[in-house]
Amino acid sequence: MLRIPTTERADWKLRAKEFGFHFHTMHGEPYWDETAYYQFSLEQIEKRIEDPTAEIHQMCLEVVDQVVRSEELLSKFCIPESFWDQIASSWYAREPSLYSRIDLAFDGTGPAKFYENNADTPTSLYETGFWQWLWLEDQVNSGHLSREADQFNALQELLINRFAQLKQQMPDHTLHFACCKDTDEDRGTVQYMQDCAEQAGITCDFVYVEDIGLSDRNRFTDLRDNNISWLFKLYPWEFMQREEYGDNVAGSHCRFLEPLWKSVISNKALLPMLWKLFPNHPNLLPAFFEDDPAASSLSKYVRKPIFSREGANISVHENGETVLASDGPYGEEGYIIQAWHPLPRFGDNHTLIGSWLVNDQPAGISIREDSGPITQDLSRFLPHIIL
Amino acid sequence: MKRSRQINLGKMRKLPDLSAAQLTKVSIVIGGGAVLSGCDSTDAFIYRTVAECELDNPLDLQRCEFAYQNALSEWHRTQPRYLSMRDCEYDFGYNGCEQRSRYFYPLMAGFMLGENEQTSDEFDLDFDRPKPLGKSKSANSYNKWVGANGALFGDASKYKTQVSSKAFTPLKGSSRTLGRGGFGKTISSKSSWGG
Repeated sequence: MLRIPTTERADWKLRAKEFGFHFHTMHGEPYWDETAYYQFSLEQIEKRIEDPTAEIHQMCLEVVDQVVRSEELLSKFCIPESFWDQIASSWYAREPSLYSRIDLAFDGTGPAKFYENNADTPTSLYETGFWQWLWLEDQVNSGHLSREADQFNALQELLINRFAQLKQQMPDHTLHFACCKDTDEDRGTVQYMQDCAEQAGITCDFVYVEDIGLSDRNRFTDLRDNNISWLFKLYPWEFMQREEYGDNVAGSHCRFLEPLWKSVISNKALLPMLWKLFPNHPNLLPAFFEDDPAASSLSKYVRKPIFSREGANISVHENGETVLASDGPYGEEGYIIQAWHPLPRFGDNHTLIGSWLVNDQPAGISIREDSGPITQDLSRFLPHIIL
Repeated sequence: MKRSRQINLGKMRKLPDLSAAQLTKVSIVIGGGAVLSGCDSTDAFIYRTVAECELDNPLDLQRCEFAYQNALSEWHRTQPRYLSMRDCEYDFGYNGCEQRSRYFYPLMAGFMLGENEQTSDEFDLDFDRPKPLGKSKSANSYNKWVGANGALFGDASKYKTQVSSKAFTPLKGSSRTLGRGGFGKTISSKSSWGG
């Protein structure tokens, strides 16, 4: 695993315009960064990332299976009681899922360590599935990279195939796509999903999350008052469950992507549960609920809120002292702690690997770099190759 | 190969391209709405209770009960639903609503029977297609018979009226949006949340 500086494509910003990639620069800082790329060996990809990704996902499903059967665990996971039955039914019915992204710390050697699971609303999908794929295509065509160069990135192909399967289960249904207003990044991600679904032959529509209505028949509706019977929502379940229409999910006759059971594994309480069920697994870091006496066995650890996103409200502690902290709005539901395992550094960059799954199949990776050890929403996205 | 074998770049391109791709996105709605047919009106009788129906139709005692039960289940299928008793009573008046589980529903106040179009007999009623009605108490339609979809059928003191024969077509059971904005509020208090 190498970080190799390279020349940017001269026309990449034009290409971005052409393909509708509008969020390559955010808050005045570069987000897409092709001044370097990472190079992996096929063995690193297959043995160290792809296989563990599939295995970690299966372990996460085992956690779901345990949690939905236990009221004690459901409350430890801070899932509102009115959703316990629904989540269990969603799991027992094996409501189909579409995708997830698990975050891994990996430096090219040794086992990749699992940080957390973005199982409900993973973003950076477009950059991964399409944009870095196009980068490789362009760099190979212009002779900057060898024709032998490959990429671990079947994301778009697998998404389209998965949509084609889901279409069989929901014949004649329109799939509505939803995200929040005022974010180019989310709008772009959802548009990309919609493009993939349309290529699988699904009839699609779009509605902003804030515009979703509730009808006199307890159906969710779009702005034209059409019923929403199938919804892809780039909006977290843990928010929806606590909002005004949360109570209406039950009788809404709507199928959701991701399904409700994903709220069990997009939750940081997943981490201590995994450690409990699979102690000393080489890809796992020791993790505990904060109130677990065993937590005191960790001298250096990361404290993460049960619900948190983009690295918010995370702090690092060593021998009782706080050595690092990020602020943010989360944490009211409680915390878990996870053994300290820093991201590998390549030069001044802390590098995080996002490993994607489509349903339960490893589908590719994305690489984010941050100048600090906690990856946040301003970290840069870099492409990679396999050679 | 570990990457997507092929991506259709044409489909991924987003620059405004005013060729065929754009034009196919424009959907044209022609006609649409139901055709209004003018003068197929029918006499209709509205009964508040089974007993009222039986008094008027002494030869059809069981059929009154049958029509009432059918009307009631049709009413339960299509009646409007409210999130609070106050909202329901605003439209249907004090004692005009009931609570079932978490929601509030107006009570059926009567059922309407039209003429049986299969026979020529003027007073042969169609007991098989009863129309359930509520009694509206809202300010702009005070004391009017009202269907589950909000259609009005005249003054609630009257028991004989004239309606379009379409009035007896069962409602689809859908769909009026009562409100919006019940999702998406958390986002404003937590500025960034993407995973």
